[in-house]
Amino acid sequence: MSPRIRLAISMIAFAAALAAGGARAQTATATTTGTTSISAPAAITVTQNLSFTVLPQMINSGLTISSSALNGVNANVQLSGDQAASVSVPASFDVIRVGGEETITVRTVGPVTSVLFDGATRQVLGLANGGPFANPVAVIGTFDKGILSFSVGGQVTMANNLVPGEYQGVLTVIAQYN
Amino acid sequence: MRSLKWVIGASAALAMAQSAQAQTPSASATASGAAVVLQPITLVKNTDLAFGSLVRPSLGSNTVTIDATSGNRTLTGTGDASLAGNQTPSRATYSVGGEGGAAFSVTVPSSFVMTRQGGSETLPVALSASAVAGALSGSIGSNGSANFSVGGSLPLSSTTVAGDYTGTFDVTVGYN
Repeated sequence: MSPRIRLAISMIAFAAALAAGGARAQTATATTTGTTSISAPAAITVTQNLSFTVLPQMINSGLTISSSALNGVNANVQLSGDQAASVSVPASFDVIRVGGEETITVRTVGPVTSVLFDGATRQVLGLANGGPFANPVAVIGTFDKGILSFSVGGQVTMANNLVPGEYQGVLTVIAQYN
Repeated sequence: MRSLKWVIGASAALAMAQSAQAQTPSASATASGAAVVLQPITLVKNTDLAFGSLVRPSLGSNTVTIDATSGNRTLTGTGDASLAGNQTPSRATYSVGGEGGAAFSVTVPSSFVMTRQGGSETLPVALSASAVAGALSGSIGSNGSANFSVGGSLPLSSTTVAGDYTGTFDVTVGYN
């Protein structure tokens, strides 16, 4: 074989080597998954406010009056959401006399109605009916998803120096996704 | 480039050999060649991109971002969305392998789309990489490695449909 032919063969072989190199893995790819879970914000609705009925003869009696007595009503609250959530209620709150400065402390008491949970009636809150909430804010239970409704009751003690009148205050119930 | 130069050099040698052969009965020429053979570059995904659990705003809009460098999840915007803690967010992380000391580039799409499972709603996700180029550790002749990560951001509004969203994207690395 002449040198000329040998050189040509060498070049062909080198060209083939280059081509093989071009087919070698010069890039690598990885597929990645992206994920997220989006929830609707929890909604809370007060369907009924808490109120007491105090008869004149009860004032300065030292009696403890319940919101469920006489014509009083418990507060009713409805929650909705699509995640597990916790519900908390303050152990007490103050009501102030309209047009004055006198206050009465209302102690909250546990749910007295059953809980509507995903369409089924279940008692999922942690307190027995009428039980007091612990200080300062009690997490009274959790729910998974769907709709939860419950009531919060209250108790007030008729102190000796109580000023007659209309008293108002705010009871704050908090629902929070866990 | 080294290989290309060699071919040009060899071509010149061939031309000279042909010229010389026209004048003499025989002649010989010697050429040398060199090539750098690199290990194939490899890419392994270590973790996926997870935004975790989010609560959409009831008003306004927000943007949720997973930082590519730190992996931190942040919430910006005027809405009242919130970050829930019952799922762990993470940036996507990758390991590159190949020839020590070799430079490489990273190609990440600017965005991809996640689709709600069981539905057709989509969420656009903008992507960002911690690096668009790098060099493998070590030196030529040894195994090298490098790491990088990818983060992203997605919009949330009061009309975002709740649910689980998922989607995929491809990340590519290549020698420079």
